[in-house]
Amino acid sequence: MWKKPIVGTDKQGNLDWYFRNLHAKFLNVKSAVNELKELNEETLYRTASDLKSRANRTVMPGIVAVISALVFSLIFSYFVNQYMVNPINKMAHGIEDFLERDKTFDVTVETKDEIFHLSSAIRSLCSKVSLAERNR
Amino acid sequence: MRLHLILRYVAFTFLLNAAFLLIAAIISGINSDSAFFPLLYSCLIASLFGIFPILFVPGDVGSISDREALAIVVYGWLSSCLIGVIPFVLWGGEFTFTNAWFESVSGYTTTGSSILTNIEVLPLGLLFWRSATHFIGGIGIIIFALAVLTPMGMLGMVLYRAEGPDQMLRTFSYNARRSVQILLRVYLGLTLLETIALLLCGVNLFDAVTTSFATIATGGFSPRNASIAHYASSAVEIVVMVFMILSGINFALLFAAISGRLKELLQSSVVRFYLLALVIGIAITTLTVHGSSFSSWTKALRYSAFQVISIGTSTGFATTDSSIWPSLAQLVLLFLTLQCACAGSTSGGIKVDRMVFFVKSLAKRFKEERHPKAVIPIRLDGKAVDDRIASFSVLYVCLYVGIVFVSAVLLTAIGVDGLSAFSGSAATMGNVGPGLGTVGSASNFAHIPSLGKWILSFTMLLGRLEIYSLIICLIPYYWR
Repeated sequence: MWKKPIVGTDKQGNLDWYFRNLHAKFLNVKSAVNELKELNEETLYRTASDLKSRANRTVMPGIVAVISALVFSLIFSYFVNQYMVNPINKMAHGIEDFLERDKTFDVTVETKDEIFHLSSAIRSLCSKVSLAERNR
Repeated sequence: MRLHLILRYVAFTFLLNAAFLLIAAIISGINSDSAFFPLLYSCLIASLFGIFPILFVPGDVGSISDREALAIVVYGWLSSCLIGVIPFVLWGGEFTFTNAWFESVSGYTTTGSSILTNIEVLPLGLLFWRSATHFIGGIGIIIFALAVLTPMGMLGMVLYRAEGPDQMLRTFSYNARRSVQILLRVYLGLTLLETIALLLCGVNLFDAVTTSFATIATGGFSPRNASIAHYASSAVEIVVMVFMILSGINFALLFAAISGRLKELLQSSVVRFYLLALVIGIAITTLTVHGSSFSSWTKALRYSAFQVISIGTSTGFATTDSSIWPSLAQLVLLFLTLQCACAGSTSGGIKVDRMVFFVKSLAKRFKEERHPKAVIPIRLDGKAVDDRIASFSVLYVCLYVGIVFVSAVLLTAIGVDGLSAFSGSAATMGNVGPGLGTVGSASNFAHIPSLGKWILSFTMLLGRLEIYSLIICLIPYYWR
């Protein structure tokens, strides 16, 4: 059973006794508790900062990858449109004009790839057809 | 405007960045530090964006128009700044996105303002990358000024021809490509020479290379917290001072001097004005700081000379904390922050050339008041200068100071003190680096609120791209 150590004795309310025997110890304990508290806070802060930094490092590559992929796909679609879709559309319009309005097939393709060869082949075909028509 | 063409040429800047990122990753790999993967990852992204448009867009695209050339450089710069952000944000530490953007823009625009409170904790690879942004930015300035603005006839912006058309014709045959080659040789030669000189002074190879990158580009990023003060060597300080002065001179004149025509350099009134401003600045600050900050004349001269040259060339290195100097010395530094060095160098600011025109225009105006009917030409080196160039210079100076003022007002509105706001704005607009007050040579920009960092980043870009170029490229009308 816990008995209160100074209650009911001459030490109760005795400030002289308290300052002589206990106050220094009390201050020691208080500063030790404060030190422990600060240490805990520091460790907690360090751990939290470390966690935050790690989380950042984990998430950031993903964010960068997603943004890069988005920009890359935008540029890719622009190039596909510029160098594939547009020339094919132009050729289709050129052939339509040739067939329906008897216009010369005149589509220029900037690149020197398969689309360029296709365009050259269509041009040759159209000129041969025109020549055959005229000779008929 | 052909967007695909612009993308093709901007892609080359990505490849240049990728090359330096690879070197930084190799340095990181050798040191087994924590920046290896962020740098490698960034290198891959930069390479991907670099190779892809070059593969797609054919090389024989015909001649590039002036507007396209301007767009290539401006967008090349902006996209480089974005690429520069990636290794920083991937590495983490103090680099939030805003901080990384600020550091990257500061690097590419060769400003040298930093948000880092402890530079030396950065891994070597990342430190190298940080300095490399200066080096790439310096190359960008040469290409921007010579290959783009000069052929475009935007002489008022660059004022190369103000040095005298004859000299330009003799020096460069007015061929932009040849000019760029020559100036790049001067740029690389100076970098190499400074590296060797610093090595001879006992600085280690890494510090010598990174410090040279920052000096020749008039940047200011040092791999050390205490900047040049870290080496505590007057020999190192002298070497850095000499190369800072050289980097502030028009590279065309430096090339002329190397080619044996030293007279052209010595007779240039702009160079004389530049050197005179530095000498007067050093004299005033030495007299002011002696007794108040330094007890001996030698120390007062040593520290004053370094700070004045560093600020007057828009480099931004430090050997002492100039924010605690007497007000007169601080005002001298503030004036030099606005003026900076010669056009045609890697320096920022209003530039001495424009200041010369500004002063001459004022003198002309006074003379016209006295003789209203007189025709008074503005002369430079004995030759009459087109009035448009002079009036453009006056307009530029007014616009420049106006932007600095607006930026300072915005910064004070978000809680930055007046001195730091104004000097910080002037320092970033002039691509100088450190300002006064809480953003002084011994401090950094870490405590500036995020919005303030964005404002300052924008002023850095405005200053570097000579105001008009950036504004023009951001206006949709330009694209029609």
